[in-house]
Amino acid sequence: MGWFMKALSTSIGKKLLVGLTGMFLCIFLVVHLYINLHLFKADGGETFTAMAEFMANTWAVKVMEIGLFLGILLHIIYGILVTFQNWSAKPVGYTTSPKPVSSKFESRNMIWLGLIVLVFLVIHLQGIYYQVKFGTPKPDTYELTLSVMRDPTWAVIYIIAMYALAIHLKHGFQSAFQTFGLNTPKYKGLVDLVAYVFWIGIPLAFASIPVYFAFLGGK
Amino acid sequence: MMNITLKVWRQKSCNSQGAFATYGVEGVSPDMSFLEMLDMLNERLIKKGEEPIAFDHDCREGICGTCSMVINGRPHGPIKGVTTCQLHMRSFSEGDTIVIEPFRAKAFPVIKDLVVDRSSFERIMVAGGYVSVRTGNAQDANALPIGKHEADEAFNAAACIGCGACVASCKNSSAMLFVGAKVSQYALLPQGQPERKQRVLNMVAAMDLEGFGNCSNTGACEATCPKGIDLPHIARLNREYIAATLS
Repeated sequence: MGWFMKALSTSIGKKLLVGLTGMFLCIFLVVHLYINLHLFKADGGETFTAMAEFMANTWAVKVMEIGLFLGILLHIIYGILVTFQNWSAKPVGYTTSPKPVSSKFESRNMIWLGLIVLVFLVIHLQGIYYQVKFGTPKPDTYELTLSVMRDPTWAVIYIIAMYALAIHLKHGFQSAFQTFGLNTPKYKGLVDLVAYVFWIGIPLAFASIPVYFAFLGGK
Repeated sequence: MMNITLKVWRQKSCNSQGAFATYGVEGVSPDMSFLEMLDMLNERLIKKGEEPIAFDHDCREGICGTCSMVINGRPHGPIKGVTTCQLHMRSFSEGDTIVIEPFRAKAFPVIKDLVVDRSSFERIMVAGGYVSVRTGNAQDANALPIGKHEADEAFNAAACIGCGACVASCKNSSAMLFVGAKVSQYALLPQGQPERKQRVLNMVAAMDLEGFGNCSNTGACEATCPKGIDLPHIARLNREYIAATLS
């Protein structure tokens, strides 16, 4: 295992860990969204509740949940570690800074976008996940989720967080493939296409739920 | 002839505090190179009994990678694909104020004025930027079957002159474009195969030891590289590193 830990301690190793955990979290986003989209189904929450119960009571999901929290933790720790190293590598900046020739806003502000998503994550976990898991009495997941989505204040918080997530993914997705060494001329077109669909599609679909229930009169 | 104003970073030594000094430069010909304009200013400073501005230069043909400096916030100045020595004053206008700073990075400490210590690049090269096989003469190289695509890619990577503009422009002072070019150059050619795995591991370890930052794929290095080294070389570096680590 020595070689593995040594590799993870290098600059490329750390970036790989951030990229791999990021990809893992992207898979989680797809599953989460798939379940959330069932809130639109006009069946009184029957399907959504069944899915929520499956997620809460299946041992395999519980194991994956531990992996998910570990993934989030590693992504944050290594993301911060890389950022601090980067800051220390440039102790003095330039007096004149022309408009960056090619570097985009999101590529220079991943840490801040990530922090916005982290703040949202804490609020989100406290507001729904913690209540469903440990609340007394335990609320109905469907009713609780809908009450949050119908609240305009919460809806605005969700929309802002999804915007930050979108910009974070815009850079993070293609950047991870560059770190994996796959962003070559041969695959660049495919990576760019998938990244485009992902960073716009996933956050937009998430944000559509509070927009529908809080502002468009969704029942 | 033009009259311009220079704001130049002056610093006596690596341990002293630096500051900007302002100089009015009159009678600048648009045909002068940027370094010739500095030469002219230095001659005037010497005549006045002042300390000339220290700056790195050597071949003045854009091939040695010695000239550095950041001109108006951009390494090697405003023209894409051009080193400072190949930059001419016709790229500026009458009355311009030009700000000149040294390359900024923890791994490139300032020695004096605009001169920085880039020996960290040398130490990365010592770690793996070589081949152990006897490569013979030109006819021996021509006898080796190498695909056109591989040859072109290796040549593009070999165009890196090791000037350090990639590090200077990167907000993280990452050296990955430089190391990516060097690793690519050897990995693509048969002569580079004996040390292929150890080379990438050693060069990345040396790069980290020198205190360069991590690549965050902003692309600033690619945009400022005077030799057009591009980001796919960093992707290849990552690929080579993963393969060498796992095999």
